[in-house]
Amino acid sequence: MILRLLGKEIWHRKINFALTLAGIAAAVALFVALLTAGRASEDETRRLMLKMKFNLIVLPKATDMAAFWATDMPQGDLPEEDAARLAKSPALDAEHYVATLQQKIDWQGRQALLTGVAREISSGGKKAMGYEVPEGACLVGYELANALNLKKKDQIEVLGTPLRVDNILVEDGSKEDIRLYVNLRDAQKMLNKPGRINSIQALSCQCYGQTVADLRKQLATLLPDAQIVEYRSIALARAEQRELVARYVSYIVLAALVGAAAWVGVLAFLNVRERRTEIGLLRALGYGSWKIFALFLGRAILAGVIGAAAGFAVGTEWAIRYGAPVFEIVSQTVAPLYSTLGWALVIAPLVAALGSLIPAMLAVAEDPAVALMEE
Amino acid sequence: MGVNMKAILLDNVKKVYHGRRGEVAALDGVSLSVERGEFVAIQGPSGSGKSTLLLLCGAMLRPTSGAVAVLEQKIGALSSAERARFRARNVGFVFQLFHLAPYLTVLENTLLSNGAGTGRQRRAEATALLERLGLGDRVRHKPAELSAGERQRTAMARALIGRPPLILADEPTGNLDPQNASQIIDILAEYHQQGGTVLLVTHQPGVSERAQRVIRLERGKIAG
Repeated sequence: MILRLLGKEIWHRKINFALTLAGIAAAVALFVALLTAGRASEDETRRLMLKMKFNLIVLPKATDMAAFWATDMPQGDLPEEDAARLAKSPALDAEHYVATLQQKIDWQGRQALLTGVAREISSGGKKAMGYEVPEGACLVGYELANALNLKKKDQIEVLGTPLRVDNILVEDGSKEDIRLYVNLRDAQKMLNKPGRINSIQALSCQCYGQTVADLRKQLATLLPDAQIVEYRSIALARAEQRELVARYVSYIVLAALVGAAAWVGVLAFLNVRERRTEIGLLRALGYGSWKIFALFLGRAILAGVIGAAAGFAVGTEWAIRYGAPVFEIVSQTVAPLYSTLGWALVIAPLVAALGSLIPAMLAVAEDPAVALMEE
Repeated sequence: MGVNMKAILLDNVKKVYHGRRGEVAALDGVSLSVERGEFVAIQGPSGSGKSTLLLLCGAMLRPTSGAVAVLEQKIGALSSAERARFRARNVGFVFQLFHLAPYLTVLENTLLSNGAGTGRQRRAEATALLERLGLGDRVRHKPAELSAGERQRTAMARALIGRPPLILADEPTGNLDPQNASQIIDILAEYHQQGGTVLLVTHQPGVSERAQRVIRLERGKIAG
């Protein structure tokens, strides 16, 4: 009978229930969208860091830094093994290392930045941040591909080496647009520099706050023929970006939960007020406190479960459809985060029940005689 | 339903409400005895304590002082849950404003009584009862689709479905025209003839004439 009453009452007071549901679904949608987009945003941070370049770069000591800042091209070279040596050393606490060999070349009547990249060395099985290009393949910058009308799967020849175009990079508005990424082995062959590299790019999360002077001192003994440069603004931006996102997401989720509980509470209170006589009648008909309590709490829990499922669907859809442009996320990285459905199905009914607890207790405490006599 | 036993026994009952404007004694030293199978009407002006008396007899209220026993059960000694169970088994209520759940059909409202149950047999019984009360073609209707008389007959069906030994009716004809009022009193009289006890609050002399005994309340005391 209680379930029948619950269903019939909900159907009768559709607007109140729909508003309750909407409040819960909105909070869950926000929670799911933030977490789903947040996960994608983590991947996006990697992409952005790649876009901004790594925040540390190790160059041959022979590089004139004034010329480097003017051209972005290192001078001289380093043994390829230096990347692995650097990665193994405790001197630099970085997470990603990529050895590169790059040189400005003339190709098909245009200037291109030939960049050979080695397989990335990442600590703790972290996802690679940079491009990984197999031997015999290449990635072509947007401007270069556009000017030469290159498409994916085209066969090209660069400095006598045949290459397959694996992808055309998206427009970046920087030197990336004239870059030609190849495997380090291919680049070494093309430039006739076997076993050599001319930069090691590193991404260090812990470098924020660590002084470059310290890093240089430690590197002097490890790689005497190298020098280290930190892109300080990038390091700061990265640290600040992470802190900001983490701080605001937790505040927003907390505010959404409190807001949803308050919203459910207010609507439950209105529902109790509207049903004073009905509660009195049920008491007169012999319904005990627990049945009355179950009637109101059951309503909230049902709204929580349906709201959680609806909120998950809406939040996921939002994250997939709008999260990408808002967070500048590569769309394919935004995928449903099914673990949030499980959490939502636990948290939403709990929050809804908590929000309805006081109104449900008021319903139980309602003096049936007074309610019936007042009418 | 037994006979020669007390259905209701009130001994020097006082009921005081504590309001913002001070205390109000709704009942002030009322003693009353109703036998099982009796049909008693309570009359009195507004505010004389009629409804309070009815709710005390229905185990909806506890007396401030004095003793209330309904069907030999001392109400003051029961917890809230025990009183709810007691009502479900023993008491049928009928109110002036019907108090039907607006979202339930006539049949569902009838089965709303906690002692009624919802099994197939109970549904058949409820349907038969509704037909007997002239609501056979209204079982699937909602209260909003019924006339006042039909609503009150639905409320009567809800009170009767569990075959309780006691029916407490608070101005059941107060909102009805004479024809419908007569129908309701006929139903109560029929229940009484079958051995049920009726305690009826009414303002209408024509209604109280149908009772075996009339008790008059004034300012919380029995006046005659």
